[in-house]
Amino acid sequence: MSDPTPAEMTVSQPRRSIWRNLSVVWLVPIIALAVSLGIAWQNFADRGTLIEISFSNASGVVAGETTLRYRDVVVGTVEDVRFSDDLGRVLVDVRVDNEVAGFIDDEAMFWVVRPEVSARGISGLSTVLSGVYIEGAWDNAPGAVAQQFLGSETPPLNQPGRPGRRITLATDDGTTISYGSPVLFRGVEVGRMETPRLSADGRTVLVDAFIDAPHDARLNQATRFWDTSGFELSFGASGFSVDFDSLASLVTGGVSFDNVYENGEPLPSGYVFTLFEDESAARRNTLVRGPAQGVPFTIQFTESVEGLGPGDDVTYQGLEVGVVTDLRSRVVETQLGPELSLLAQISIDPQRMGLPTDATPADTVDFFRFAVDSGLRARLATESLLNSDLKIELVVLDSAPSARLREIEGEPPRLPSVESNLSDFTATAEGVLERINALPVEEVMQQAISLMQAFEQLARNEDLQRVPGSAVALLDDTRALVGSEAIQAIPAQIEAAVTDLTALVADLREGGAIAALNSAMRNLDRAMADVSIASQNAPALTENLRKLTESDIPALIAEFEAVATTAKELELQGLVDSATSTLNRVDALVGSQDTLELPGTLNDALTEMRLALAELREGGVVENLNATLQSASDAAGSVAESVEDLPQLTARLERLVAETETVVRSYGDRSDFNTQTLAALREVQNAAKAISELARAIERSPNSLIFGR
Amino acid sequence: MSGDGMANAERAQPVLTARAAGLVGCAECGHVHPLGTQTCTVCGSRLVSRDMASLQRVWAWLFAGMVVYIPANVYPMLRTSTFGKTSESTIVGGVFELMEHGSYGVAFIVFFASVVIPVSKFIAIAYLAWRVQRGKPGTASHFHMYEVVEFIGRWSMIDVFVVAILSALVQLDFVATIHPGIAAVSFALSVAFTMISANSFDPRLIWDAPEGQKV
Repeated sequence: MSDPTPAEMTVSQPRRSIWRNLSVVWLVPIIALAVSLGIAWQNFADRGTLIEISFSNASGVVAGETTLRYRDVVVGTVEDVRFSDDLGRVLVDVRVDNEVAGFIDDEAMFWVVRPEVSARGISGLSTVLSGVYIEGAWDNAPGAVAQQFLGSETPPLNQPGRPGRRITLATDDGTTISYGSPVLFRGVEVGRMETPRLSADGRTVLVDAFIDAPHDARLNQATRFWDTSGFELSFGASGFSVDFDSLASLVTGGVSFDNVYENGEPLPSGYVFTLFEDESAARRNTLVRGPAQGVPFTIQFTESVEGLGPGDDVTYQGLEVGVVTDLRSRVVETQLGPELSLLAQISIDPQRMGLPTDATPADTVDFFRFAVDSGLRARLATESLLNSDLKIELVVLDSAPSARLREIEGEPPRLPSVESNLSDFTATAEGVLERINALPVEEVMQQAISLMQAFEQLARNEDLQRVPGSAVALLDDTRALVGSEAIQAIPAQIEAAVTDLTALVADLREGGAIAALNSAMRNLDRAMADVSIASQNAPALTENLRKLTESDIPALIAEFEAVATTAKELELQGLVDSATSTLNRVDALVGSQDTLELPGTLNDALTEMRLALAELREGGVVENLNATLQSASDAAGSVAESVEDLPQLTARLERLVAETETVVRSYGDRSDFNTQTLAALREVQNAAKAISELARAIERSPNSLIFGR
Repeated sequence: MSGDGMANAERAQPVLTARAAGLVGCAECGHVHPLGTQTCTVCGSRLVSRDMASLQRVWAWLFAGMVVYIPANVYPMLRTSTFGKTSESTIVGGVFELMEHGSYGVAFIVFFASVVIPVSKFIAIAYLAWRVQRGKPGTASHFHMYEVVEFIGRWSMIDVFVVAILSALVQLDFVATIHPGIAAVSFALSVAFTMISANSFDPRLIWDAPEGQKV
């Protein structure tokens, strides 16, 4: 048995080569290192671009937390907040994603979004909890990357990349406009206003506004802006109305715009719009007032230009073609020594004069040179009847003294002017009214009344009243006795007389006394001198008439009576002759030329008065109508006073007619005489009624006398 | 373990190792075989008296763990969004934040689990591997050190668990949201690599003296 020998131990030399001996496990740290380095490099590469934004204060901006957003997407983070070297500004370093960094060029704008509560609403509410963030705006075209930016305190109105147009408005008063006020177009908000600022000379307030696309395409030189701030109370015929555009514009102010005419010219750069007070002012101003558009002229006036001022219109045949830009006095050397004259500078819009849009100022001057040669003159005219504002009127006068467009070196061409007839108009109108005032209207009325009284007395006259009784008795007595043709002819004679009377009354009416009085009262007139004379004639005439009736008629009646009482004894033929002659005399009295002429004369006078009035009205423009109206009112007062007598007159007339009627009725019921007389009296009654109506009308509105109805 | 202890250990009588006794133990089942046996007669696993290649694995894993530990500290562990406000916090930053809030206890736990333990592990493993590499014989205290490192390794994952649980639970939309950062992954990898490193170490190497010294 042999001892078991231990097995041969296999001993191998340790492998010394480090590479051969290398374990695969080493791959793990190598991969870990690679991955770590990879992540680190990627992080470094993705780190973004550092930009620096300076703000006046950095309220709420925290390094490492505050984000930079573009269209509300986070595109960067604030890395550091520090001061500028002089501590004047706060510099905020923002690490911006490389994705967008290429777009942040010089035009980029930055502002801090904070919660804001205003009349227009609440904005930035999300920042209440999350803290403020910086909002950036830039266009979508890559540009040269800038590093330093100036942050604005408020969101800019014209953010880069936002389509639209920035415009400037000029106004006198900036109180109604505040930052963010809306710009409305037909009530739709199309833009925003910025904070008003003063112009360099401090005279006007300038406001920038931003109009969003596509509404900015509506802007041109025909665009007018007006203030819609606050509300407007109006109280008129249509009632009480309160007007305001929107609640926001009520609180923060706002402006509206519209184009006042079609095809406005495109806006030149640096164009400043005028902000008008209200829409009507804006629409009134259709004229382009930009110095670039108007062609300047001067006009020299020798008369007073009180009431004319810069901004007043220059019209051609009533169309607004220009504006007065300046007014100054100027010493002109004449042979008699220096003389002061007034020089008005105007600006004419060639297009309003009908010249083509591309007409140069030289073309316009050419046109005016020609126009002046053919009689174009400038003169002063009143703007309206109710005030003393003047405007300059360009008129073509055939009879104008020849003149030329004076072209003086270094000065705008000078248009020749003619004397206006303003002062003449005023004087004439005043004179006319004074003369109306002085008319003896009351006197005429008094005369008319006394005439009527005379008629009444006549009608009441006992003798006259007795006439029917006597006449009837006479006729009854004679009826049986008288069968002769001569007697038969008496009624015909009487009828003729009555016809004459009727004709007289008809003349009175148809002759237009009443109608003429009516129209005359509506249209006062200048040829009052004639009226005066006519009126002065009238009293005399009526006086004559009265004398005539007072003296002749009773005598006539007496004679008539005598005839009647003696009829029985008298020869029939004698009676007839006597009666006939009596009636002839009545006829003659009634048909008297004087009586017939009275209406005609009055009528003529009134017609002239009316014509004169018409002329006055056509004469048109009166400078001091206020004073004139005062005179007119006085005159109307006088007329009204006189007219107060009219009802009395009418009443008397009616009474007279009624009495006459009773008298006449006693003549017998069915005779032609009665019928005719009654018809005649009814005519008189109608006339009386017409006068009465007129009187009432005048009493109600005495002014209608002046203005016509 | 103090320097004195180590010095004493080195001066102490060297222990008799299995290898010195001509034996080899199975790493899996513990059955002892005579040296030279290739496979375990009990469980059939390969028998190696001293796994010299293990040291390379230890170094490799340790190095990988240390590499990923760097991003774990540099990058944010948590991304917290509260009311739209996002804040990112790294491990050390979080510790300081907790201290500012007065939570010293929690700060200490986080600091201990996330910084002290991993760093100590790196140091301990490196120290042990270095000793073996230099052929310095180890003592019982070195072995204890190894055991502690191996035991404590899993607890380093506390941080990762916290992040995972918070991310899963705190998803309150706008009010509060928590997302894990890159550091969470890095830290988890670092702990895993360190644990593999510790596991790769053949503790039997601690007892060995270099061949030259032994003779």
